[in-house]
Amino acid sequence: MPERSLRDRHILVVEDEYMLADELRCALGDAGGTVLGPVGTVPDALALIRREGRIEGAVLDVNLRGEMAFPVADLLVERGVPFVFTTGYDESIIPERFSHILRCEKPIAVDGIVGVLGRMVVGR
Amino acid sequence: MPEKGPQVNEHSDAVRVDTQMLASQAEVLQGADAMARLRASEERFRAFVTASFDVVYCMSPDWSEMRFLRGKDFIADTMTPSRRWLAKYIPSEDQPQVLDAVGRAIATKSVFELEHRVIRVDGTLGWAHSRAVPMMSGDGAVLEWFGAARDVTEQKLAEHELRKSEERLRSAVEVGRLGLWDWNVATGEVYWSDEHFRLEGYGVGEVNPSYEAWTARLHPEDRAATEAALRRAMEAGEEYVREFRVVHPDGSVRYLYGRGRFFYDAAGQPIRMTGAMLDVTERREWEERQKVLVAELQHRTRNLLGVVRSMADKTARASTDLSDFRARYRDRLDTLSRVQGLLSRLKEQDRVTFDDLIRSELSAVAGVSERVELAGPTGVRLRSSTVQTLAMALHELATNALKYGALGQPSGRLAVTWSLERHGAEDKPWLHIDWRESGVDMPPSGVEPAGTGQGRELIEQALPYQLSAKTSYNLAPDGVCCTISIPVSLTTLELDEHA
Repeated sequence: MPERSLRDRHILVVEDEYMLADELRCALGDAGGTVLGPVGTVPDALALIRREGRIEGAVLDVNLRGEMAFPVADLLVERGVPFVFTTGYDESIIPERFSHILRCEKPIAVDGIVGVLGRMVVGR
Repeated sequence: MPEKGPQVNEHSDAVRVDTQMLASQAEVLQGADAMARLRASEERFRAFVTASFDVVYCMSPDWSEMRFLRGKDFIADTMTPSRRWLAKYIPSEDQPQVLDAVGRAIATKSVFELEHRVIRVDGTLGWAHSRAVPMMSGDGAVLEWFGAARDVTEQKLAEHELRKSEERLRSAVEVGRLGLWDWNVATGEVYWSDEHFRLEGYGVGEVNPSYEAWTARLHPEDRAATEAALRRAMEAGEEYVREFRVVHPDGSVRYLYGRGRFFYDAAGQPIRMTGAMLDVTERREWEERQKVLVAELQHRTRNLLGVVRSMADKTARASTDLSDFRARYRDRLDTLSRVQGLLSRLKEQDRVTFDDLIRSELSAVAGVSERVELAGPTGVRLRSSTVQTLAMALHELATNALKYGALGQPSGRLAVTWSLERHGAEDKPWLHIDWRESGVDMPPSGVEPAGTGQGRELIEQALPYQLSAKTSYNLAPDGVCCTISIPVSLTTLELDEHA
């Protein structure tokens, strides 16, 4: 039984690759989290964030169907939602203003992400 | 000098007397003293002419006869009068030009002067600068022409070399599209070559070249750094090497690459800067494209590894034992490899077409089968991002059909038909795929054939999620029926229509 570090936490998953999104959904669910999404496009992600009253953490893929996900990141920052980037790119592609955001390089270690999110949302 | 002696009608300082003049003067002057002075004068004159010129010569009034010529080692001597001088000294193709100048001198009784080629002592061609003056009697008739010439061969060859080298340089600068500048730092005066004007977006001569005219075109974001770099180079005595953007009046932005060098006076003050610059916009754009491609490749590769890993997890969960896992996993990896193969063979702007994809998947799974019917337009191009997921879904359908359906049972039939239609509010083109199996002995209704779970998930979940596809998957009484509709990009369609 995995550690249920995300019990009752609402976690948003933004990832355009179905298989990866599904893997994250399963792993976050196993850790006790309530998964919002997954969604795979920038507009879907923005709409979901605006709609949901409660988001306590997020996993955000940097590239969504060829589009950079930075508007989504901006909205999460504005809402004060802690999140991690997942990326297959070099660091240089991520703007300076997100330098404090943790990056997980693809292929991502799903268990690692679950652990990181667990620590991020503690006490929120 | 007697007033009525032979006169040189002009340039009398250059050649005042010759031996005949001396002889006629001798008749006028009386006494041995006078003769002695004359001889001394003649000696001085000879020494002077011999020292000053490579050639001295004397021609008859109408130049038909050469009375004598002394040519040192430059051209051969003529010691007795000769009418063959033209052929002897002047190459035939230059003779008309020489005769022309001679004719003009005779007609005007004025100095003959010409730079022309001559046949040298060793038979090769050289260049002479020749002048001759008419010696006239008191009544103005020309007695003879006295001439002297210099060997200017080396000078001509040097000039020729210089001209050639200048031409080479100019042509290199023009072909290389180099814009040159030469800046007098002390006075502020600047020279620009024509190309320099053009590189800065000026018409040639449109402005007075100046430091300010240069900075006026610099891109606002690059201006401060570019000027600072110039000052640094000036102060440090280093070469100025910099890429900067300029904005042309039409708003277009060009990248220029400039290199320049400063020159300093004895006190170390910069007095001059020269340099060249080149438009490198195309190279920059190409570099940007490369960067995007490399980043894209990284992104795809890493995603692909993620897909492979999650595929392994899923296959492991659905497998009964290790050998079952091995067979299924290898199968799926092969599908991924085939897709990568299709994609990697594409050139830029190329796309994988749907008919290529379906044929490649079916033949990989089932080989050539007369139980399969394919119908639809050829050349429907798929976005590269679409190909992988669609191929995986088709692969699962084909594998299941081989194991439990139309491709595995003698009476089974498979028809795959597709069409391209526009619909929706934006009139976007969609590709409709219809997978219909028939004549299949299906398990009792409600019982799903074993092993179809992953294929179903791909079609019902992954395709809508990843490609915004609309899909259906039904177990009809005599076989699986599946429909997949995916939006195709407009450009893909346009490319298609023009292909």
